[in-house]
Amino acid sequence: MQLETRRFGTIAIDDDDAFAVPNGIPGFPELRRVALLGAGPAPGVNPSDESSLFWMQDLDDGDLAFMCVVPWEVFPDYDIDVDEKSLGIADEADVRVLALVTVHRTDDTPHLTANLRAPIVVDVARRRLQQVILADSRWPVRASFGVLAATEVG
Amino acid sequence: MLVLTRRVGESILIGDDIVVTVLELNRDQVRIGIRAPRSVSVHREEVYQEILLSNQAAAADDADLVATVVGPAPSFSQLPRRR
Repeated sequence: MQLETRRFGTIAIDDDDAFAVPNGIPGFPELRRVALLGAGPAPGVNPSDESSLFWMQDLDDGDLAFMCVVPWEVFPDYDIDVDEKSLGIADEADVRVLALVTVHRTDDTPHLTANLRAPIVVDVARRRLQQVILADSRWPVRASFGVLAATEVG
Repeated sequence: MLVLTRRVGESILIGDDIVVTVLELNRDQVRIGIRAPRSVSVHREEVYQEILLSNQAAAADDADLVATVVGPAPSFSQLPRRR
């Protein structure tokens, strides 16, 4: 399918690359289908072949996309206990995890935070994802990483 | 809103398999026990609201600002497994 997006112009997305979001996510109950698009390394992470930043692009609303980060890339101590069975995921090996990123602009110095309290848990076998609110309050909703220099903002 | 009066130790059944029990009263605090299937998510309302607001902030980002963080052209990429 072809999708008009605000950020990326027209992008071609193979239906096989879509992920279902059966329950939406808090604040976006209508979110049903997304694509996960690699967006390169996170600030402060050595570039490698794998992306650590992803876009979660809504396939029904080209204007809606969420930046995500692979949490262990920027928070090496991040360690969560995902109960695959209660999430309907057959095999632990099918689980991938992303954290939603918010860009904040304070004092003209943008900085990034990741939501470690409510990770996006992806089932790559069934191609579904959901946002899971952890009972463990150790992990913050706004965990800072990747402070950007103000001069980088055009 | 349905309003019910319960004593300590008494419960309310929601559907067939969710049991809410009043465990303890202490001045203006109530301790509540909830027994539900693992597929039912149970959260303090303020935690859920915080997640909701955070999601909205994540969606309402500043495109110019974001362009400084990542390149404009996304590509398909495999999700890395946990190390």
